[in-house]
Amino acid sequence: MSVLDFTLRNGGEIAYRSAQHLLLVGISTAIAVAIGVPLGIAVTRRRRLRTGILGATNVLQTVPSLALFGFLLPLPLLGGIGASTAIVALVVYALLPIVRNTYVGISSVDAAVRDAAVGMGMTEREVLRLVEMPLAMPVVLAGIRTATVIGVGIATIAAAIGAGGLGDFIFRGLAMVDNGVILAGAVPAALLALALDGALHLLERRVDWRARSGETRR
Amino acid sequence: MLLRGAVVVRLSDVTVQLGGRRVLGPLNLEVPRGATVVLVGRSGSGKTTTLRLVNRLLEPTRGEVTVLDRSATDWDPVRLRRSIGYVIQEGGLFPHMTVSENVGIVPRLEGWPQQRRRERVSALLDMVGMPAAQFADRAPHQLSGGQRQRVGVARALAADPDILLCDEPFGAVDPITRADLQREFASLTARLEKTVLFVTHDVREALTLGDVIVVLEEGSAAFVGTPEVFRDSDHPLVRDLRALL
Repeated sequence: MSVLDFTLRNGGEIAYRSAQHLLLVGISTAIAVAIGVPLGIAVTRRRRLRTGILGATNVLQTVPSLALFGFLLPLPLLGGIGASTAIVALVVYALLPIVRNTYVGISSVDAAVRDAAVGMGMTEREVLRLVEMPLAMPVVLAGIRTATVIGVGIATIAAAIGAGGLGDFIFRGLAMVDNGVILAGAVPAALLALALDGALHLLERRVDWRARSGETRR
Repeated sequence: MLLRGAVVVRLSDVTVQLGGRRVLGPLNLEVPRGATVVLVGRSGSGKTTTLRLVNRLLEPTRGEVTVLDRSATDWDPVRLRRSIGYVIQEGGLFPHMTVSENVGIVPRLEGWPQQRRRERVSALLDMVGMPAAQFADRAPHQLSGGQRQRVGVARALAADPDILLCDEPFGAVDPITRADLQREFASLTARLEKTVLFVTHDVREALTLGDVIVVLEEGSAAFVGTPEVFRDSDHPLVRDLRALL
């Protein structure tokens, strides 16, 4: 069956699977931000945590996604068949770029600027909120963007454990040896990744104090 | 005592050790109210270290630092720092904030209402020769080095502190602008009756601004005196410094 035929006949399902896919990525990225940004900040504050946390997220990143989904299946609470297990796995993959970029963003704030902030009488929290985070924001958002794009790709594999999403078409197509069905999943997934990448890039530009003030961008 | 007036900042037998190495002291220093005390000396002589003791960015290993009749260790560091203006090279301006946001930062931390903050900021900008109408909304990088420095001074004065700490504030500007800044800074701090502790490696600047000149060498005060005494001193280090004029 051609892609076009399939798309025309199954437009509704493609839209539904896309929405499901978007939801998987959206929820998991949001959770990863909620965990990863504070973790990245903690890493800049405690030297001892740095190797441990950055190392752990690095190692987790190297676990093949299909294997991770497999590992999670038998686990109580986190595991099992369905979307929640997939979200756990997606959070794991999203963590590294978010933690790392938060860490890099904050630690690349000019020492003289930080010194001025502390010397003027900002508390630790005020330094973070008023100086470090705003200056690090473009880098942090770049990390979130990377995590999101990776998430769109990995979420296709989540169909293997019954989480739905566009991967459903891909696995179905593989089983049916039908390229048209595979593409019905792969093409929207690619478009979704591009769209999210573009949208987040725009957001990044909006929070970028260098761009706002007309300075050359990195 | 070189000048009359109550002592606002006092360092008594202060020593600072960092990683087992002595970087400062034993140092005794008194800054009288309303005076400008300038610390000169080569890099590593302890000028910046001395300054950082006063706003408690550093703690002495031994000895005591007293600010406004209270031991620095008795002060809450945040309160202490907000009662002291701090100017550093290039102003240390926040690059993501406009000129007026930079100047208004300490009043904002102190929770001043917006209207009062705005009035204060524009008065300060006028005071340092940067009319608010023209400069308030500029970003720091859209200013020249000298202008950034002016904003840095305005920011330090924002909450009307009694004491100003200046760490080579005019180090990165060209000689002509620097002379202007020095002259204006001297008249501003005299008019506002600020007590100033000023670090520089420029002897000419020290003589222009200082009521008292302190020459630091290897963490100790090798010379303390007024500019007149400095000009006549036979101290070998002072002679070396004078040779730079």
